[in-house]
Amino acid sequence: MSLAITTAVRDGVATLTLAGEADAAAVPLFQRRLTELTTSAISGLVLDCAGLTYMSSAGLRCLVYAHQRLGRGVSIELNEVSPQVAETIRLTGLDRGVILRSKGER
Amino acid sequence: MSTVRIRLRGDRSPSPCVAALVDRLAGESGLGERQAYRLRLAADELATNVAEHGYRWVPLPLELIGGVSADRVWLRIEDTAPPFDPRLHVARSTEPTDQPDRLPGGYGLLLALRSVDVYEYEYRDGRNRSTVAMSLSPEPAEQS
Repeated sequence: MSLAITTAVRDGVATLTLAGEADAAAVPLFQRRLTELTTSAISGLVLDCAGLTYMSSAGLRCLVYAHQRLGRGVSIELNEVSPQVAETIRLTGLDRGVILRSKGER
Repeated sequence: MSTVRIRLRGDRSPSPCVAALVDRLAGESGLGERQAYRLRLAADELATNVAEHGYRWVPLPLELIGGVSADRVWLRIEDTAPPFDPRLHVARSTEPTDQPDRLPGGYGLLLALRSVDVYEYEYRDGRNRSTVAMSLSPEPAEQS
């Protein structure tokens, strides 16, 4: 299954809604969408992960890329993350640099 | 117990075939969702690493072999790239990073090796052979 991404910017906060799988094949699209969003000044990046069913290190590298593009002053928030994807993120320690909310968590 | 062998080429992403094979093995063995996810993640990281770094997307042979035994579900990746033991190339720090703007090389391998119950490597007959496996827990006893 490939990755589908929809984007929206509202009040300076960019939201990416992810559906599918963030593996190596998804990296070009994921990075392109992140690049498009981060060319303008935004105050925050939200990833809606309710439909994200899989994330490998290739997907994690896109989060790293977002951090590099946005700088440390801009928060990155992942919402509705599945237990498996959250576990992958925690294994690398990236959860310390992003706001990670599991499914059902507010 | 059955064994499945899939022959791939190193110029294509192995991810979809890894996913399909793990789905099949999980269905056959009753492997739990979390364990199946971790087995898939490990095999995907290792196979993608072969295609990307071992072969540099050249169409050389990459094989996935998987099976179910009495006590485990296993998947082996075989390739003809130069000898490469992933255990010697995982991210230098085995501690998680607290610097999200840097994810050093080798974290995919770290994820792979940390995700499974068993990891084995050997180089034999001109092939790297990486095997990942998850243990099959006995079914919980029925409560009366």
